[in-house]
Amino acid sequence: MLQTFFRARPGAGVWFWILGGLVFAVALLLMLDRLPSRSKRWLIVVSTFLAGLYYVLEFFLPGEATWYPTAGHKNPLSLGIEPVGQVVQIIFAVTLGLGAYNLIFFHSRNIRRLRRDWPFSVLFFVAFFVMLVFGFWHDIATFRPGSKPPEWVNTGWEYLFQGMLVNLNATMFSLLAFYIVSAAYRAFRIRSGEALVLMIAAVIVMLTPLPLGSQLTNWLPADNSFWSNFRIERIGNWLLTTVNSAALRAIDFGLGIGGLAMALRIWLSLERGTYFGQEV
Amino acid sequence: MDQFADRLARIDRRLIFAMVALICLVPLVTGFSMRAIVSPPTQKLYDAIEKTPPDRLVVLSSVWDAGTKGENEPQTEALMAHLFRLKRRFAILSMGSPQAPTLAEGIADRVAPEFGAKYGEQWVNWGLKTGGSAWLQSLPKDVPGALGNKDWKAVPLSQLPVMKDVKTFHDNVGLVVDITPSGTLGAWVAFVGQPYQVPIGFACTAVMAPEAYPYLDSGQIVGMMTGMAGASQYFQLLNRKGFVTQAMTAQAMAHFLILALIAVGNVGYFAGRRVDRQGGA
Repeated sequence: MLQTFFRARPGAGVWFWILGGLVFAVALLLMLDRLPSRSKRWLIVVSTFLAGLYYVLEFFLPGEATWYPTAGHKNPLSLGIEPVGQVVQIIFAVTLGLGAYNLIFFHSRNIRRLRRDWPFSVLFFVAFFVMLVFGFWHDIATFRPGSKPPEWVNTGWEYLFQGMLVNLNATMFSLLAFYIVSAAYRAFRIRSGEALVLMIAAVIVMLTPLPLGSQLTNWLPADNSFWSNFRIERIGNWLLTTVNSAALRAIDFGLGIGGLAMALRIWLSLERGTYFGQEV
Repeated sequence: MDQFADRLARIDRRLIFAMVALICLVPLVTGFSMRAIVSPPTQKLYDAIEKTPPDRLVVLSSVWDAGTKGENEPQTEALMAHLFRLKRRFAILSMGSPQAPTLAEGIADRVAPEFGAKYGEQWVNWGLKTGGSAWLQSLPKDVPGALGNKDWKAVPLSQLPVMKDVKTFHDNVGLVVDITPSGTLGAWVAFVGQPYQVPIGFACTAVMAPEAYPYLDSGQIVGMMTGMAGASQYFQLLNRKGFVTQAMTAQAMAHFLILALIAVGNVGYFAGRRVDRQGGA
C-alpha cells in the first residue's frame, strides 16, 4: 500500500500529482482548522503518540523473529521506515517553507508601515529573490534533466554564493576571534584558588597542540618513564581524556536522563508551556 | 605605580583587536609556518581510514556551513585527499545544513584532479537531507531507498558506478566520518555506529571536541580531528601542503597572544591590589 501511495511518478504527469497533492493538503488543513479546539488537541495527542510509538517499536523490537508474519520473518515496522523517513523530510521541508513565509510576512509588514530600518527589509527581499532565482536556475538540471543554465547564471550564482554568502558567513564567525581574546584577557584573573586551577588547565590545554608549547618540556624524556608524564602534551592529553571525559560523562548522564524524561513528557503530551498547553 | 598597574589591567580593547589582527596576519602574509605535533586522536582517525576495507564505501557527513569554514574546510579536504589517495569510494551527506553539499562538493572538485578521480566513479554527493535523526534511522537499512534513488542533482543512483551494490550500512559502509560544528555525533553513534557496527570518526570544530572525548575513550568513535589544529596535523600525516599550515600558525600565535595578555592582565591586577592594600594601610 505504501509503495502505491509513495512511489515516484516521473514524466509529464508529475505536475498533476504535485498540484493534486497541494490541493489535498490545503483542503485537509482547512478541514482541520474548522475542528473544535478539543478535537484538535486530541488529534495532536494521538498523532504524537502514534508517531513516537512507531519509532520506539521499530527500534527496540528485534530485526528478525519467527513470530513475525512477514516474508523472511523481518520486523514488519521496518518495511515502513523508508516512506516514514521521507514523510519526515517533507514535514521538515514544509517547516522551511513556513520559515520563508514568516520572513516575507514580517518584512513586508515593515515596508507597508514604513517602520524603523524598513530599507533593510527591502534589501531582504532583493537578496531573497535574487538568490532564489539564481539558485533554482543554476540547479535547473535537478528539475529538468539535461537542461543547462546560461553561463551568466553560473557566474552570477558563483558571485552570490562563493563571493558573498560564504564570505559574509565566515566573516561573522571570524569576528569571534577578536572578542575571545579580549574576553580572555578580562576574565582570566586569578581571584581564587579555583580560578588558578582553571587557568593552569586552560594554559596547558591551549599549549598542547602548539609546537612551541611542547618545546617547553622537550628536555623531558619522551619514553614511558615516570618523568615523561610531565611533558606538556601528555598532561594536556590526560586533562582532555581523563579529567574532561569524567566531567562530561557525568554531565551526559544528567542530560540523558533529563532528555528521556522530556521525551516521555512530549510523547505522552504531558508537557505544558508555550507550545504545548495553549489553546489550538 | 598605581597608574601603570591600572594600564596593564585595562588595556583598550581596540588595541587588543589590532594586536590580534597583526599577529594573525604575519604568518599569512610571510608564509611562515610551524610544524604540527600529531595528537593521538588525529593519528587514530588517520589509521582508521587506512584500515577501511577497499570494497566498502566511506560516508563523509558534512554538516558545516561557511561560518566554520576555517576549521571544517581543511578537515574535509584532508579526508577527501586521503580517500582519493587510497582509492576508496566515498559519499558526501549533508543533514540540515543547506550550504554544506555545495561547499563539500567544491572541495571534492578541487582535490579530485590531483588524483585523477571522477564524480560518480569515486565519489557521490547524496545532497541535503532534512529530517534529522528520524530520517537517519531509515538510511542504514536501505541506502538507495532513503535517498530516493538519486544523487543531489537528481541523477539516478543506478547510473553511478560508485553506488554499485550499495544497499545497507551494515554490509557496504566501512566508515562514517562526521564533519561538523554541531551536536550530530550522538545520532550517528546511536542510530548507525552501535546498531550496525559501523566505525564512526569525528572531525569537529575545536569547541565541540571536549564533548566527544567520552566517545573516544569508550571506543564509540575510532578517531577525532579537532579543529584547525587537527586538520593541520592530518595534512602533515598526508605530507600535504596547504593554507591550513599557515592558518594554524596564525592561530598558534594568537594563542600565545592570549597567554601573554592573561599574564599582563594578572600582573596589573595583583600590582593594583598591592597598591590598594598599601593605600588602605
